Amino acid sequence: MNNRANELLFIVGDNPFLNISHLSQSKARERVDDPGDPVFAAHLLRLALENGANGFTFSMCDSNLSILDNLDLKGLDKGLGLYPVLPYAFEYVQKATQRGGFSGLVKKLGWDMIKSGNAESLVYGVSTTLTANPESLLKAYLGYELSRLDSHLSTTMRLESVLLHQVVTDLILALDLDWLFKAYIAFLSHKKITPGFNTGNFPYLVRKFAEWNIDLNKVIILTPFNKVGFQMTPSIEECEKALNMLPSPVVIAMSILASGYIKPDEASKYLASLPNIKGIAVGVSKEKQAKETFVILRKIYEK
Amino acid sequence: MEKDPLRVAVVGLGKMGMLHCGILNVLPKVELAGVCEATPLTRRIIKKVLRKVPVVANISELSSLNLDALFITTPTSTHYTVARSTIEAGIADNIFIEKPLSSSYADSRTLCSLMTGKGVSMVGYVRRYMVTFMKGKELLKQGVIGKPLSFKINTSSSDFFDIHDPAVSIARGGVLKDLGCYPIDLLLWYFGDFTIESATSESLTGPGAVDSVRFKVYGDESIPPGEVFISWCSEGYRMPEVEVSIIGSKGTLMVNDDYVRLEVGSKVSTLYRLNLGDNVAFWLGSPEYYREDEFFFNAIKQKLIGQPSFDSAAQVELVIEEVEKKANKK
Repeated sequence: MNNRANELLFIVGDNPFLNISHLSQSKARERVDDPGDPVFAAHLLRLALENGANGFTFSMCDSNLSILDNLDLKGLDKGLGLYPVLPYAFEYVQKATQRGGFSGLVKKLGWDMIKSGNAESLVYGVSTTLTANPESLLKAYLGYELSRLDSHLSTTMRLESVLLHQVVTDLILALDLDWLFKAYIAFLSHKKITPGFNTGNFPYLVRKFAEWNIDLNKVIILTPFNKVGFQMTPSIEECEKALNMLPSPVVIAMSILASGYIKPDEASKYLASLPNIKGIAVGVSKEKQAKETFVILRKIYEK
Repeated sequence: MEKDPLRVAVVGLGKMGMLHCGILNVLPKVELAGVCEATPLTRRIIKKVLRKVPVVANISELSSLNLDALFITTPTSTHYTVARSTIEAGIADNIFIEKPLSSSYADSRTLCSLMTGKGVSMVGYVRRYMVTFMKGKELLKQGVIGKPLSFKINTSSSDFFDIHDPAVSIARGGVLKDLGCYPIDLLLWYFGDFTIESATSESLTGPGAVDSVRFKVYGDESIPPGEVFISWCSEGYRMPEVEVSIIGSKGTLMVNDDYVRLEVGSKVSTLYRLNLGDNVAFWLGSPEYYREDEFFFNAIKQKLIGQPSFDSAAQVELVIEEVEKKANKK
């Protein structure tokens, strides 16, 4: 039997746990089971891990951290690979709204960093205040988020990568801030964590990284790939072309079911035809999905 | 001869200002040539982030940058003063202002007068660039559901759900100005001018705040009778959402941020974003933001009218004031 399935990452995505549907928010609100409940979400995650999944990618927010607290990994030999995405942009925008803008948000974040007591974050935080240096701000923030995650990790969880949120990745890309990407990569690489990027502009990112001499072998890219071209910017053809240009498999395909528009078996046929795929991320909102999705996805790679 | 590239500056670097900066920096034949930010710490950081772009503290400092266009993304309460001073100083011929145009109809009309004979004016009513609402407008124009007989619009967010302090709600000017401008602009875009029949409002975060508004519209030749509901205290909304339902003589059309649902006779069809050609050249925030900014620059190059122009968008403030008057009479 070909062991290609064993080389791939099969990652549970957190969209259903945050009540997100990119196809229809009204449908997400109408779900009968509540995958937003951390106990139920942890149960779904465990079921998925028992049935072929080996990782979890999630936005760094309190409800997702609570899922980790509720997750029972006993008897799962391979443990769990974690791929947190940060910052959780939605939470920050909402806090900014409720606190009367970004100055209110910055005060709240600054206070949270102080309360965390994380030395690295405090040092870089003070440096930011004195110098307004964006690299110090980035390091202070990353230090704070990593310390926040730390207390929720059990011995069988492995922090495989930290991914930069799509809005942030794409804003940095749009503004040509190569030095900020490089600072991010250097900070995480120093800690032996693979730097990751969630992007909605995959071909643009590949082109720019090559131009900026950023080693594409040493990063992870989380980006949409599905047979209907959903959220594949600027087009499915351009995304496939960029995938072919990669030096090694570094892409974790997301939105593979186009938010439920495509069935898992159809999705897997398409994905199996693509080169340079390192893994597949997909959300599950029901027990049946948690049991079946990754079994179906793995099957085509086991042939 | 066409000037190439068009030079643009952004005033106000909150989340919308940053988003537009990003898009402007990737739009072909457009150059992000300046940024103006009043808050000292933000300005200091932005100066170190946007190393190749001049970052200034005052609008007057933009006058030396030879700008073709200006994006105003400051808080709504400052739109009028910022826009007025930039237009009067002749800083740029073409002005884009994030929604709403200003805080009052009188101020909006003054801005319209000041822009008369100048370049393109446009207000950031982004739902006009969402593929779902664009499709809805097209289907309505084609008469697919026959003659419109009634409509309902539900506009909801959870921005202030379970918040029991009215201060921020009041500071943001209330739900009608902040969120209500979206359904009002959509109604004006879909049907044209209309008259308010009645209106009510509620304070849900605390005394003095306007957190929920409901108003009814008279039916006439151009628009069917209908009802609009707006609340930022609804439960379960990750982002603000607008849903328009129109009952016609031949069927029903429902449009929201995610899909278009059409029911004619026994045939029901749902078109999601992915069915409607939602791709753009660069995805930042949502595709409609790119489409909106792209249209603004095409309008400059091809001498088109902004969608919506200041003149069209000022009608939103007129409706808001009518709704406020009717609601306060209760």
